[in-house]
Amino acid sequence: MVKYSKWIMLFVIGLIVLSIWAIYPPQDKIKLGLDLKGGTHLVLEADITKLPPGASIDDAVTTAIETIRNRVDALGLKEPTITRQGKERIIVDIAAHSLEFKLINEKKDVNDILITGKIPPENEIFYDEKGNPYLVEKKILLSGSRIRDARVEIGSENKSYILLSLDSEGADIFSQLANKYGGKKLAIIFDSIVKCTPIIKTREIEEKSAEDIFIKVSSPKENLIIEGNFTSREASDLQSVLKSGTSPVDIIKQMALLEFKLLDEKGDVNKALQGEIPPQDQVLYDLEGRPYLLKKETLLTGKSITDTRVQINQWGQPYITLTLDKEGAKKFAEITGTHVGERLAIILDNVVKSAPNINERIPDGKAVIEGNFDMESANKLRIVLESGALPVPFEIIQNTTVGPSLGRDSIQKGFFAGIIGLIVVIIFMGIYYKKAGLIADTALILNLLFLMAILAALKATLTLPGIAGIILTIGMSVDANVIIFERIREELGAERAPRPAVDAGYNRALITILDANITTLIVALVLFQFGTGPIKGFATTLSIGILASMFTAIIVTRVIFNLFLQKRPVKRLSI
Amino acid sequence: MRFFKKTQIDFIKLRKIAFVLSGVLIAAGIASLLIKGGPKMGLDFTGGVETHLKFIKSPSISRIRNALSTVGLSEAIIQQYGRKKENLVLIRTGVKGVSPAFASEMSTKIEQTVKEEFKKENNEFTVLSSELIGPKVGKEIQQKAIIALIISLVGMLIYIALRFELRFAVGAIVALCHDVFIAVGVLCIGNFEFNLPIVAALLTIIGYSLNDTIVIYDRIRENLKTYRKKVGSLKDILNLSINQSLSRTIITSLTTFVVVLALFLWGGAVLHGFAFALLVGVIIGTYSSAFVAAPVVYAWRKKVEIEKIEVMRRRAKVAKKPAPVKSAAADAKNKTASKKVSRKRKGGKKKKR
Repeated sequence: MVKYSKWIMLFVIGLIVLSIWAIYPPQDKIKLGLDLKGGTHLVLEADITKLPPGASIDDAVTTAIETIRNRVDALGLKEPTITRQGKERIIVDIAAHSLEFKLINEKKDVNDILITGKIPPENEIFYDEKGNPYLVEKKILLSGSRIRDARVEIGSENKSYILLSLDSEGADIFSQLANKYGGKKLAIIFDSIVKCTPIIKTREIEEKSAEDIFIKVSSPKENLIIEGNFTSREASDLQSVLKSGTSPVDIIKQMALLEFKLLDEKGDVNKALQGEIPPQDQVLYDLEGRPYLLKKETLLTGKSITDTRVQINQWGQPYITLTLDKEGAKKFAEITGTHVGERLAIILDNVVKSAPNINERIPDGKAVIEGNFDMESANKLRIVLESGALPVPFEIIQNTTVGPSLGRDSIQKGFFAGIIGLIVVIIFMGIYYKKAGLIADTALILNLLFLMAILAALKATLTLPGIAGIILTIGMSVDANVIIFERIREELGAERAPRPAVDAGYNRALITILDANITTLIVALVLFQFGTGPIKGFATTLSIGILASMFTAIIVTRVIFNLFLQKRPVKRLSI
Repeated sequence: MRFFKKTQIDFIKLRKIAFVLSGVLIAAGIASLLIKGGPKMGLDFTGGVETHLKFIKSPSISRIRNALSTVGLSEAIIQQYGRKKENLVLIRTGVKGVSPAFASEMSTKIEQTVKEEFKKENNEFTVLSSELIGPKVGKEIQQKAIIALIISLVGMLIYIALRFELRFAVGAIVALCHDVFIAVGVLCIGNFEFNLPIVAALLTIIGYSLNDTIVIYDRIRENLKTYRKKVGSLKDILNLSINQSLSRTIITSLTTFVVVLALFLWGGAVLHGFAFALLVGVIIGTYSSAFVAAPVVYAWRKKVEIEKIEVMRRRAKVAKKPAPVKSAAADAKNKTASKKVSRKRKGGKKKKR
């Protein structure tokens, strides 16, 4: 060991360089769990009892995963992970992003405030991607969860603009906002970065410079328009940012089985409700609870749909147009041709959406779903229809949603607690074991570096319990060095010279360290095997921490000792 | 710097006091469990819906309760938590007997109801987190936790039995169960809820306590080999070993305690129970390795102690042929009566001092 000290030292230095490279920059290299960055963790379970006869559950779940992926993508949500668990479960993890509209404080100069450091109490500072600072009022005027859809549209002179649809409550909020703050600048802040600073445009305000971006209420009032000199690239970037707040839960779950069935005009609904249902018929209800007597036979399903669009009629009411594929169109023409005067029900997940009269034969395969839609529900329906139906119904059996603010808070608090713990341990070891303590401190810091590097290299997810595991590692990983140092002290007490005392100390402590750490490793492995997400994170950091601490305590500190003792004859050890 | 210089504490003699102390702690825990009807189970195990809200201004809990009871959620548990000015509220309802479809809508319903209630005074809130755990999932998590606990205990037992002897393993397991029992009791008395992080904390306590125990056991094993002839009785070897490892035990416990304390004080509400369980565990684990694990080994050995030592001594003599004359002579004498042997050992110890 003594002979190779220099080489081992070189190896360790190489590892340090490699580790720093592996974790830099940390915000890109360390993957955060949903409990830290915010997001939604869903567990869906297929209802096997409703599996169509002859279908295999395996295929059904595989198809469902594909369908759900299409829906989540269509919503514009980034980086979803959709995995299968066991036979009949699907796990969907979607990261949350924070999207907030806040007012920019234009009365004061940000740069002055940055110099003096006196931020007004109701204000805070955010930066854009280029690093320009903005003084922003703390109050959130509108949060991203109010946004239902964002689309890039091409307006006059081929200029791109963004059409933003809010939910009705959001629309009310923004209308009030526009009256109150017309002409002022808003900051659209995405994950703490200012993405866009549009001016609220009302009728009275008509100043225009080429640089400015405007946001205004369109009609219906749910729609906002953001316009300015965007390139189409900038517009689509902004669009995907604006779309990030949409909640995915309801559209993931929706079965979206679309069926066309004829009404039984000859039958009596009231009799049917009393139990006298004709054998070829069934009773279904619409959203208001009105009953319909339908013929059981499904004439067409959503499988024939090739295209869906949301359109708005002259009263501002959204509706959905469907285009059927060639075969579907042929069949649709046939049905409408032979049943003129009858009513055709459009049924979604066993709820009658609409039951229009067939006025004439429809040859072009275009159908319309009307109903009590707002932009949000119309758009979501469009997405589910386009992605197709789930082959079997699913229920959400677990849903964990963590807001981004809680996640940020957890990271800050965990980091603070860890730093305090680290400082206390470092100071304590320095005082108690003097220079040897400083060697142990070096080992401790290297241990943390290696731990983070291994996490990054394994692409493991850091969770809140994972942070707790790292903090625990800070306290426990000095143990190996404590065992060694106590041994060395004993040997020195038995009148041994420094050099042999160090050697004997390390040799005797080795078995103890191995035995003691292996048992903790057993616990960590069991936790890893049986734990769910966050607990797995704890097990991961704990076990990597233990392994890294054995390496740093047994090998790295010994090499440092050797190098010190090699150069000059040491009479007294500082321990 | 040194906290302890060559301590000579007679841990084995103190074991009776320790057993009483442990007994009282365990009894208190059991009493608390009985009074409260078992540990307070968290959402992870019971299943249910839990929503955490952060209000701008301090909300009235009774108004939240009234609002929720109008939509049929009168059973909901509503609590303000964290620091006073943080205005944090948690709302929890059960989902037993509720259809899965309805359960998945429940958190939205709660949020909307509470929002309506506080709309007039502009007391808005942000949803920090919301969680739905179906009853089936809760049961699964419960089973998994129990299996994890059992497997890790068995794993430890096997490992120690392989590395040491069975009686050491039993001593360690007794110490572990002791620690877990007391930790569960203290958590129950402190009204902490049992959830997955707490189970992880209990498992960590097991690992930590064992870590401590093994360091002492290692010393005992080593001393049994080297000091057998000089020191003599098992009691002395045990005491010597604990005293030798004492400094290390205290230092490591101290550093671990400090970081866990930091986690408890500043780690945030989410990790509060977890950190508390670890705090208790570090103290109990340290105490139990000296006062429970080693004395159990002593208690096990007491009846066969003398014979066993005889056997080992004979083995040692065979292994190291030219044995010291004096000790060989002592050996011959020791073969006589058991009581005499132990007296002789005490004498030997005195000489060494």
